Amino acid sequence: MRKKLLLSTIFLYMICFLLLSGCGFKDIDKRYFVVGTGIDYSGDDEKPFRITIKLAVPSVSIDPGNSKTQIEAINSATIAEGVRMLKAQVDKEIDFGHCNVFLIGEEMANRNIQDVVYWMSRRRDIQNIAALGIGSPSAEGVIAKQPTVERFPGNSLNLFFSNDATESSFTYVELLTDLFRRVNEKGLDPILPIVEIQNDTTYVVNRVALLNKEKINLILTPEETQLFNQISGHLKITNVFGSFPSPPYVVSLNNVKTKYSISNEEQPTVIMKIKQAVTFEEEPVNEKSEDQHKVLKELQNAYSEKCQQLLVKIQESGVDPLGFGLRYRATYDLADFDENWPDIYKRMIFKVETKMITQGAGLLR
Amino acid sequence: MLERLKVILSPSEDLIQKELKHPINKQTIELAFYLPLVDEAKVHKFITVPFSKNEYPISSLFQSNSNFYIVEDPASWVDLILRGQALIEHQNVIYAFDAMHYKYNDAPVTQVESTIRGPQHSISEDPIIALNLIRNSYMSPELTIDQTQVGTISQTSLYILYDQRKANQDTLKLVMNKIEAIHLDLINSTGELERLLSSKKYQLFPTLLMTERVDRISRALSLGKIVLILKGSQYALILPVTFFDFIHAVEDHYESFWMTRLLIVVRYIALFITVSLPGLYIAVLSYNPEIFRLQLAFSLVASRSVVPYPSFIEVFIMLVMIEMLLESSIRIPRFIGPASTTVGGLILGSAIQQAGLVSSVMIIVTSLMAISNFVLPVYSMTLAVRFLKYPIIIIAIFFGLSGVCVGLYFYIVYLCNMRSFGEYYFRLRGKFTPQEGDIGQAGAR
Repeated sequence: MRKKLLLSTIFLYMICFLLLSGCGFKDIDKRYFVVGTGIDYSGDDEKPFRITIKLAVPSVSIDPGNSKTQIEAINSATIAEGVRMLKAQVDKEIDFGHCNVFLIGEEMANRNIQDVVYWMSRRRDIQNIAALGIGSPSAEGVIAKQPTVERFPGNSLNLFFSNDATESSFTYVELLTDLFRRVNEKGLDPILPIVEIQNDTTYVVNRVALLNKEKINLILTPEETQLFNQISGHLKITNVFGSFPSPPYVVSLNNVKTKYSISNEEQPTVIMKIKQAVTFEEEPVNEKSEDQHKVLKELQNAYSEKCQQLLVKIQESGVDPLGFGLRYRATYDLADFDENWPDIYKRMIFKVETKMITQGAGLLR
Repeated sequence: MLERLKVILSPSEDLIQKELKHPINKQTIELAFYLPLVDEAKVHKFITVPFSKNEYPISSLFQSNSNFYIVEDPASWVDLILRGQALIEHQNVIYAFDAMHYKYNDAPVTQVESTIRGPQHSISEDPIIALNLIRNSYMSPELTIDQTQVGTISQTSLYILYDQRKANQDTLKLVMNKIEAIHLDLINSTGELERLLSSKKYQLFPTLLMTERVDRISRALSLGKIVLILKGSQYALILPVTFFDFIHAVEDHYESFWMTRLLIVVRYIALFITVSLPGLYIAVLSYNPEIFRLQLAFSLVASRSVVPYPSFIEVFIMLVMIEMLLESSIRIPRFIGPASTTVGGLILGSAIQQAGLVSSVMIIVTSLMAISNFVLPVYSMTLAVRFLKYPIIIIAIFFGLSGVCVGLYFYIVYLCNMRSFGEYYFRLRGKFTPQEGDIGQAGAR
């Protein structure tokens, strides 16, 4: 009798548990996968957000140029409301689970990105490892573009920001976790890569925008972007041009290691030590290898010079993407960071020391 | 001689020790041999019959026949008797008589646990042949064989084998008590015995290992385990066992070290796959489609887009089919066995997918699940594991991926809770000698 009672109790509990599952059950073929999202400023202050989503249309054939997508766009007062309204325009459940690329329109980034970032980090089905970027001139334009050779819907833009495919030294990959941290952390400022359309067929990602927690402060040129990627430790394989009057050299850097320390004086100095293993990729044909050391020295000096110029440029614009402020906070006592830091940052001096180690001359013997 | 043998050899049912007295000439001989190891006809023909006929003095027979030879050294008695010699004492002289009889040719070929390069014979339904094989592969004077009867009507002989020095006495007591407590009219197979002996009625996992292989039995004996052999059954029971023993094939000792380690890892992977794959399919397809890469998700969508019903209906259709297929291939008469698997597996499988009842990915899932189920080397564990996927599927329907994880966690907790005759069931490796084993655990469930 007791056993029966126990069993029936368990059974009842099980029945109650079944109600807990809610309405999460939805088959994969009843979902629309979003493969790209763009958020623009619509120009209307009543409904400031213009949301564009690119929906994947699954098909069995995977030949180049066969990817089919569907673009939906809407203006709304808030982002969440906009997404909900978009659901009314499609016949299946919209799922952001596979959306790896979120673009913020340039106009939006010039105003404020914080709303967008907070919405993304709150939403359950948006991955924390989704890559973010700035769509230029507008996110909608970039998202709606269909590259001609794409095999899978939305895959090209995905591959730009993943480590599986291209490893360009110009592409800075910013993930949502990191961006969220940069938006909230004192002494560390957001960075976003800029995505543009090239020749109306494909994308190009070779510049970064530096933001001051809210909006764009400075956009770096492609060369500066590459340099920035190197010293921020973001990418390993890259080219740096030792641009001398004559003769021209090209070394490829592998294994860039950057260390820096900040001294706490009246004039705080950042001493940055960059250690690189290099391989010569191009050098003049009749070059003797005896004066390799001299060449290396010249390259090192040139590189240090370039880095210093870049750091000064970033300093002048008043943003801190490399996190000097965070390091300073961690190392020294600062009563009121927000009050004092800009002043300290303005007075900072940068000294860059580069050490290149030749891994190979890249010669065939 | 018999007194000394009692001290040297452990008391065993199959050790025959006789003192023969001739009624007329008052001569006596003492006779000792292991019953399964010798050819009894030979013993009768050369010893007992001439002795009882008494046509001429028995000692002259011993001295004149080349099959008899005098044993000087008492230390070699054990060795001789374990090698199938009969020992005879007559007038304070010890003779050995070679009556050795290997019964390998009488033993059937293994049906269930076959190996490529290991021994090919299994133990027989005739317990004497079985004991002969075991005695020949485990030549220790410590090997004890007890005999009881189970089943009030069938009176089936049950032989209990253990190494007297290595076996855990508590476990032994426990087993004896359980065997005595069996009240059943008929017992026909070791499977029945297994269910009667295992501690609980509703166990998910087997706590006794059923095997037909002599090498597995002798290895178990050397680890201090207890082996039960039932008359008229081709399988022996080994106890106590651990979960690890079920994932372990005898061939792991015969083949190259690295490959066998790898195969053990593969078996664990197969175990995980066969238990969780259908549940994972439902969970991934209906709750968490984002854990795959985009490309895979798209091909899943493309393959599922023709299927009208939700994923769990599809899984149930396929599972019912595969279970029927397996069951039919066992029950079917042997002449038409291949036909059922061909029809069911190949034709139905491709047709059911073309008809749009199930997706092509589900066919892959089902086949992989079925194949990996049979990677496990012990059949009783295979059967137990075959059931385990259904609760996982039910949980997956309602709770998705987290449900599958919780279900697997529940199984692991359940395994940790289990005991096999007082020994911990879920440990990978362990000592089984009473000196280092789980002493005092015999009373546990």
